This record gives sequence, C-alpha cells and structure tokens, in this order.
Amino acid sequence: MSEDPFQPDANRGSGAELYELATAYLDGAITASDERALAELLRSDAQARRKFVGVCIQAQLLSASGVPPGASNVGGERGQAPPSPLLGSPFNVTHGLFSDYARFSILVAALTMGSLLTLLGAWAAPTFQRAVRNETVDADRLHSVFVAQLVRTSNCRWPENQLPPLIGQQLSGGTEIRFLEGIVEIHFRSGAKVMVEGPAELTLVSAGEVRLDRGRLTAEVSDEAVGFAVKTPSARVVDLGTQFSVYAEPSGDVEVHVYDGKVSVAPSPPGRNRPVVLQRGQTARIADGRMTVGDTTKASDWDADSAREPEFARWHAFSGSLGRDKDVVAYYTFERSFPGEAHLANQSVAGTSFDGATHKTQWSKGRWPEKDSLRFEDEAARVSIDIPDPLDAVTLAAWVRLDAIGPRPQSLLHSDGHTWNRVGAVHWFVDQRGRLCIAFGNVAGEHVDVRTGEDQALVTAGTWRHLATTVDVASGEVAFYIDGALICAKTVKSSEPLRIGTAQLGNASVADRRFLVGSMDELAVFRRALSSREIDGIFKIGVPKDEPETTQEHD
Amino acid sequence: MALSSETVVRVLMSHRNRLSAYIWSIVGDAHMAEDVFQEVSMLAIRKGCEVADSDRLVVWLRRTARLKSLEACRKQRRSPLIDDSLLAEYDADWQRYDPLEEAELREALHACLDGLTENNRRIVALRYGQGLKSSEVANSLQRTVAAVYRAIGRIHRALADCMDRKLGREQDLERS
Repeated sequence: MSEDPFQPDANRGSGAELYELATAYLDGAITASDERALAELLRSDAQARRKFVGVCIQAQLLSASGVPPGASNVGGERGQAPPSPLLGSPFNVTHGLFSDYARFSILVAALTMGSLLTLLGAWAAPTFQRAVRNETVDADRLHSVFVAQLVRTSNCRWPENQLPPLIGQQLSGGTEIRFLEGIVEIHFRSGAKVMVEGPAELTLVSAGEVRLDRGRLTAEVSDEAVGFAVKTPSARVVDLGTQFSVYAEPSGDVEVHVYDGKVSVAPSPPGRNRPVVLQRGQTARIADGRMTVGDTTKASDWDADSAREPEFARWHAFSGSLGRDKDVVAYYTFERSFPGEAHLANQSVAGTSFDGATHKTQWSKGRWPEKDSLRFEDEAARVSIDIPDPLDAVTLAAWVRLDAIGPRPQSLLHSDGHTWNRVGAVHWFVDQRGRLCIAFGNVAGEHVDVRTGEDQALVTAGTWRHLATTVDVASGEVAFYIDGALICAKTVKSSEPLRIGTAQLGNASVADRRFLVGSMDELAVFRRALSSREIDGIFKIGVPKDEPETTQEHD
Repeated sequence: MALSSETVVRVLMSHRNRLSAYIWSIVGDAHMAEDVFQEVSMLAIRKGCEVADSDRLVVWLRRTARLKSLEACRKQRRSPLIDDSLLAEYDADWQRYDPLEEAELREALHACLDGLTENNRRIVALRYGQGLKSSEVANSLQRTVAAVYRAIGRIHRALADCMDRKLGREQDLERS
C-alpha cells in the first residue's frame, strides 16, 4: 500500500468501490445513490457479497478490541490474543459501540434480571459455596430459590482458593460466604439490606434470615421486611423495623447495637435470660450465655471504637443510597473488587450508563484508607465511560486531587469528539489557571464555555477537593462549587439537552493534551441541578477528616 | 435434548462479534445494531435453551438477529440493504465464518494490523479505536470525507487480503 493513505487510486476497479461503499455504509452516512449502488453490487456479485461480510467482521472486531481483560475473561472466553501494538496505543480505548466490555455489561444485566441465575451461580461457584454444614443450618429452611443479591464489594480479600464474586450475583438459600477483609453489601429479597465487614463468615438461610458466625453486620430493614432475623452462635436477633448492627466475635460473643427502631434479642440456646427488646440507642452483649443490656451513649459500657460509627461507614451507607437515587444516572465510587480490576463499576441503578473501562490508570489509596481511587499519571491514562441519557439538567460532582495546576487544561470528564461540533457534548475541566470550567456543544456550531472567575476561589493542587458543577439547560443557569461552597453562578444561552454519551474521565479524545495528572475518587452524574445545600451535604459526608498518605499500587 | 443455560451463553459469547457484525451489516447503523444485539441476547437467554444443539443455536441466533434487524429497519422506516430475496444466500456467506473461533479471527486481524503503515494504523485507531465517524476523522486529519472513505476502504481491502492469507481461506474463497 502507498505511504500516503489518501492518494487517489490510479486504477480503482470494482473491488475498491465495494470497500469504499461498505465503509460509508457502516459509517451510517452513505448517500441514497451510493446505498443503491452497494445494494446492486451485493445483489449481482457473490464475490462482492463475501467481501462485504469480511469488511463487516473486520469493522466489528476493530470496534470491540479495547476490551478490559477482566470483563472478557468473566464472560467466559479464555485464551484471547494479546492486543496488537495498535490496539494498545493511546488512541485505542474502549470507544467502540460494540465493545466486548459493553456487551459483557449487557449480559450481566440480563443475568441479574434473573434469567440465568443458575449459570451465574455456577460461574462463581468457587466463591460462594453451598453450605454443607447441616448441623448448623436448619436444612428445612434452605430455599432452593434465590434469596438475595450481591450488590457491591469494597476492598475485599477472599480466601486464596476462591475467585472474587460477580457484582449483581444472585444468591440462593444456603449460600455460604467467607471473606478475610473488606465490606460486602447484600440485598435480600425481603427488602433487608445488609453490609458485612470482614473477616466474616455467614450463611444466607432465606430471604428473611441470615446466619452470622463471624463478622460485623449492619442491617437496614424496610417496613415490608420487618421480622428479618440474624442468627448468631449465641443469639437470635429479630428486627422489628429498624437499623441495627450485630458483631459476632471470633470467641462466639455477640454485640447488638440499635441505631433506629427496635429489635428483639434472644440468647441462643435459651438460658438464664429471656428475650429482650432493644430500643434506639441501646445495646446488648451476649457472652458466656449471659446477656447484658447497655446504652451506646455510655461509652464506659462498651468498647468506644465499636460503638463509634466511622466516617467511612457513614459515607458508605450514604453512597449506597446515592446509587439507588433515581436522579443519579451514573455513579462511580472508585472501589474495586480485585487488585487488577480494569473496569470502574457504575453503581447507579437508575441510569442506563455502563461501567467504565480503565486504561493506563493505577489503583491507589483513596481519600480514606478503606477505599480506592484511580491515579492518572500517563498522558494516555483515562477511563472510558458511556452515559447515553439525554439530560435537561445535570450535576457533575467528583473528588479530585490534582498534582499541579497547569500548564494545560486538565479534563475531568470529556465527551468524545469536540464540543463545538456535537450538540450536547460536555467538557468539564480545570483550566491552566485553576478555574473550574464547563463547556458544551450548543446548537450546531455554537460552543458554550463557562468558567469561574480568576478573582474567585480556584482549584488548588495537592489535596482532595470536591468539585461540582450544575447546568440547567432550560434556564441556562450554571453554578460551580468547590468543597461544597458555591463559587459562582452564571447564566448562559439555553441549549439543547446535554448528551455526554461516550466520554473520558481524566482525559479527552481530542488530540490537544488535556490529560489529568492526579487522582480521582468518586464521581456522580445527576439528571438535575442539585441545590447548594445538597452539594454541601454531599461534600460534608464525603470529606475525610484526616487525609491519608498516598500509597500507590500498580496494577 | 435441550441446551443448558451455560451452553447458550457460551455460544452467544463466542459468536457475539460475528452476530453484532451481521446485525450491523443489515441495519447499517451502529447504535441501532447495538439495540438489536441486546434484544437478541435477551431472547437467547430466555429461549435459547429450547434449541436442540449448539450448531442449531448459531443458526437460530442469526435467524433471530435477521428478524429483529428487519423489524428495527421497519420501525425506522428504512429499507434494509440486503434484499429479502438475497437473505438466504447472504446467510450462507456468513455461515462460512461459523467454524472459526473468534480468537482466530482476532489474532489474524491483529497480525494484519501490524502490517499496515503508521498512517493507516492511525486512521484505523481514529475510526474504530476512538469510534469517530469518518467525517470526524476527516476533520481531525484535515482531509475530505471522500478521501477518508477511500483510505479506510483501502485499509479494509488490505486487511481482507491479509486475513484470507492468514486464515488459509484464499483457496476456499476461490472455490466457493
């Protein structure tokens, strides 16, 4: 082939025509006359038809090649060829509409809808083994149906002979779960939501009961799930409409704390104590068959550490509710399930957005030691995301720590392509002077660029900052926040709905070096402009009191 | 004997790119094709177990993809590129790829990409790696859209020749 790819053919021939027409057709931009010509070629020439099939397969494989390794493996395909030098280049991330990664997400979505629950269980069988200890679990109560769903894991370490579980995995009655450290969140079909902190060993007995042999379990029980029970070696805790935690110590002793509502606690086996009903703020400790009841407000009664609700746990609980918020279209908490994970889980249940695919980023400690963040150092580092929902209003909010301000703009989120030639495309970034900025494509050819003023608070480097920007398309109001405080509000010409679409976190698809140098930890996209009070609330619940030192871990 | 759910997903996953390409070839629009693929995947998960064996499942998947693709075209009031009368022959053209593993196709493609010039690799990266439309590639490289179609067309042709050689299909193509 010629070195100049654009050089006209001296002798094109019908073969060249077929390939050009096929290219235009797959581009979705073929003219009516060219489409007729292509149709005629395919009708009249069997060889052309076969070549066309080949082009389609090539185009599909090329579009799908930016595969996060974890996703394709989980999908069941092994022995995939290593990527070619081209496919590993900075240009090539998972942008293709037909990426394997996207398809994997689709499949997982299908699986989690309950169509292939058995299969899913089989895939993850090494992780969650069926309980066989009939002496400890009442076999009559083991349901063969699925009783709960694994919603998330955070910083979990699993026994060496087990694979990490799949988020979204359906769990049947009798499933036994063991992990060495981290947090697992499970939603029961009864409506009870539990978060378990490791090291932990538990068995799902039914949709309304869990056996906790070891670990700390926090439950949030909705009205319809009243009666949800946690069975431990020395007590049975039955919810009466509440939030509570149960700590099953390795010694067999158990502590129960009630945060809201009330629970019934019955020693097991029944001994000298009758069941008691604990109210909000009360605690019970069952040790050596004896139960004592106390009050969490009296620190002397209990270990102060266990009674204190850590700020991370508070954020984590809030984060769970954010993921379920119907106005959240994409929510990346930057928590991974295993060390080399190459995708960024989208925790939003309301939106249609996909998980993100990481490229040349590094997992690093987040703003708390208990959680992760992604570090962007390489010029090509990025996370490819896809937020297809059209948005009449939007709030973008993220925790970011930049290493430095300038010498060039640093992208936080950038829709693929240029904002000036795609209506609704969004570019959210920090410019070279530290101003928080947003640009979006307005009606064709117009490019709206809004920035905070230089005399206003600027984004500073070296510390975690919470950055947020709201846009209301109808009114044209744009507001910028740093660390929960409103920095400035401006009004711009109203626009078409915003369409983030396929986009990059920490980089831009346009070739003008807008890569971020620093770390990102949590990013949420809302389908409405949050109030200043809401943004301040998000900041306050997410701000770390003591920022940890950055400890990098390479994938 | 009906297929297990596991087999259905395995077949679906191992043919996903060919199935997606097939849908794309009929509807001519990447977004629409993705929607159709999702629909076919869901149907396969719900009903694929009823198919007798894996080979028939592949045929069933393509037939379902064809029906759903045509349905999508109708909804969009768009004429499909492939005429109804040609669909049987068209399917036979696709069947020729059924015996191959997708990993084989991908390996051959990757090897052939290495043979492209730097400029051509850049064009491929922009069009397929970044998912830019040809018009956007043209903007980015300050060329006309027609020139980009010509360049990409030539790249596809070179890749097709190379892949046929790698897969040993030259003779196969000639014979058929």
